[in-house]
Amino acid sequence: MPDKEPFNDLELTPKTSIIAATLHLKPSDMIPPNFIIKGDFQGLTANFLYKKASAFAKDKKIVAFESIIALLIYGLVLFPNLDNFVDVNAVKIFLSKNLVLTLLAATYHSIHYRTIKKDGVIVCCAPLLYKWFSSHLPQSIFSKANTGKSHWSQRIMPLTLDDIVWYHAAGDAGVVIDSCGKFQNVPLIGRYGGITYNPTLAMHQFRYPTKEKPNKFSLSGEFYLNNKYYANMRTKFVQAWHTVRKLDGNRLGKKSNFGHPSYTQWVIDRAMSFGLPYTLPRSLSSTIPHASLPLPPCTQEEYQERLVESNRESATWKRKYDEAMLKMEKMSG
Amino acid sequence: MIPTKRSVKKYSFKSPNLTRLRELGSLVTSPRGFRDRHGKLLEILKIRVEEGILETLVQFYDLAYHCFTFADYQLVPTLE
Repeated sequence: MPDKEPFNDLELTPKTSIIAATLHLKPSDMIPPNFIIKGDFQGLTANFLYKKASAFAKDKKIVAFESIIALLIYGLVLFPNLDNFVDVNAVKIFLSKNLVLTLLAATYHSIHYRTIKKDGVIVCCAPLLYKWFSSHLPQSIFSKANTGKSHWSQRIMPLTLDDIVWYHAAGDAGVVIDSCGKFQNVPLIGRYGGITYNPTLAMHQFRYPTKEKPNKFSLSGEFYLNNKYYANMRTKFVQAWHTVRKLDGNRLGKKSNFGHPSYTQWVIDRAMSFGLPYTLPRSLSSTIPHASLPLPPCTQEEYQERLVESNRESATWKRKYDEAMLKMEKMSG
Repeated sequence: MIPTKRSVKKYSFKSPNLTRLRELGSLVTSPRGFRDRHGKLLEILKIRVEEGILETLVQFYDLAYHCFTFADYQLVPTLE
């Protein structure tokens, strides 16, 4: 959980002497052909860093060796830019150590920007996006039976709400950042600009029930590019982080595996109007949760209430069952 | 109910060649010590991304809500 203000790209570029000292390099290393300008960017070549890392490893200079490896991962994997090049921006983030917010900002921003442009290269940490996405997919999708289907769309489209793995114990958040400053959601600041993201839509990923359909104020989407036209927006984004509102997991209500039916309906309506990129091999109305009740409820409200209650109950039993299974596994193994 | 169909766009992801970095990473003598000092970075080097899956995911990106909207569920990358 990041407590620091996010890296906001307004910080000055560190002096080359500071970069050199942090990375256990000599000040005399910080010149071409090691430290160069490529395109619009200043930075270190990967080749030079590979050689340095090898030399440090050979001399058993462990701390220096590890710093170079870590920087290479920042520059080539987490914040890729030009090929075989670790730009100064990645070095800055490496020095500031404020990683999570900056990574998330880069991911959203690049996907959003490319979607507006309708094509192009998405520049973000693909392995982490993959890890996140695959963690929500059922294991069966990676099984041999599925590899016959060459297109991922054919594997993903049949998945329903119930197939998705919503929650991982390891990712238990406890406290969730809800909103910042004047924003009703979370403004993320990346190197190319800013974008808001909506924790409201992610509540069931933290295993908290979504309360009905989200209100439109908490979903107002902002997006900007770093240029003079958006300077005010950028300042607004940076200032927002002076006040961070968090939600305490204990107060968010009973943990549940289910979203509110009216939220699910809201998503279906959205998918209907927004459309889908591939053909859906099933009917949509059949996926709205149904519950068998002893007596038919009189009003819509009563119905909703009972449904939520029954969902909760079944989630509790499921959890108890899981806990018991875990206990048995531990005892037997 | 059948949702309308959007066109599929052509995207790609930056995928650097990590052979050399992986080799060097394998020389780290104490992965645990490395993690204490730098976080879970070495684990990221081990992730092999299945071809085509992210290009498919991105087709679902919803410009209005800044998340991925599927037929009856949404997925939202988060901080936590």
